Amino acid sequence: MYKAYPSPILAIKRNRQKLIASTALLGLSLLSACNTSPPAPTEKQQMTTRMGDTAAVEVVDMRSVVRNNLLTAQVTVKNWGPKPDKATGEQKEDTKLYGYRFKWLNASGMVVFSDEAWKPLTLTRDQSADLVGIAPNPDAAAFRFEINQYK
Amino acid sequence: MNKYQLSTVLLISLVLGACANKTAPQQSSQIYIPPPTVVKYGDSQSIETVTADFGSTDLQTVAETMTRSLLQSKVIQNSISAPTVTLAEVKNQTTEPINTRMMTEKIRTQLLKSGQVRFAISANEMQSQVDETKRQNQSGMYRNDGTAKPGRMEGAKYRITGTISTIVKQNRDMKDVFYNFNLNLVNNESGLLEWAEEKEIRKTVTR
Repeated sequence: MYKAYPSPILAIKRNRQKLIASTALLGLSLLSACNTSPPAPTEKQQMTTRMGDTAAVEVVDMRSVVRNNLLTAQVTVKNWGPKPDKATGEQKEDTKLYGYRFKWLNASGMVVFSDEAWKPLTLTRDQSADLVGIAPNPDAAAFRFEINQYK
Repeated sequence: MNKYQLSTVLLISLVLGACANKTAPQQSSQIYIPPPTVVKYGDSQSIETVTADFGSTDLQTVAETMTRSLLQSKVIQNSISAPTVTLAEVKNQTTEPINTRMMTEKIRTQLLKSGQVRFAISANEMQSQVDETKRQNQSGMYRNDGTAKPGRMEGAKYRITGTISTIVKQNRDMKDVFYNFNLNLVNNESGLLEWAEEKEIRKTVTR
């Protein structure tokens, strides 16, 4: 009886196909691993500096406009309050007081004014506020928003 | 000296000795040892809530709000060159002693740092200006070409005036202080009130 053996050229081609397939699988697995890393910070996150426990306060909106030669910034924040207790599901009382200020930068990213004073901000649960800041001089081209917890 | 007298003398000396031993620590305990103190620097811009009285945070917030609003006004921004202004001392219409000179100077410094306005000598500072001009021109100690000539002062186009007032309410458990700060810009020639801004601050103290 004649027994058909695979030719050596065909064997090499099959090995190459296996190698390509395994490389593709490895690449896909690496890509999926990359997907699990934290997402890149948004522009709002990059423009916000947080100090202390301010996780309950979300920066909802940020916008700016040049009005009469001075940059005017508006930041909308909302206090969602601390997360409810895991065991009982009860809402925790939110008595934290916050402070905020704007930092004004020129086109080169240099600070155009000495540090602003921290302004007190009292936000109860689910309360939002529109915080408006006006640049101290016409050199200001950009701003950063700083928020901290002081009590 | 009999035994009785000897024992009496010994007893007295023992008592005195005991007293002497007791007075020594008393003398040392009278030396005042102050409690240990800790000195540290803090953030001058941080929020201060020691009492409900007018404090550094209120001063800084008021000065910032007022100057930024004034700088953004059309009167200042539509001027071809930086207008000359004077700033009168802020009037304290509260029952609380507030250093209004500090507040006035803070507002003036922030306005000057913006480069958007120029300050002319105010009425309070006029005497020192007159004295200096007289000293340069009448003492005979200066070269003629280097002296500040009288009659060349620049008059202010606008004057800034401000007041601070409060409403205080309190009961046994709570005290509420409401501050209202007002700043006005008046055109000296026309007498028109060109700009006004106010800042309100509420502070409460609970027991």
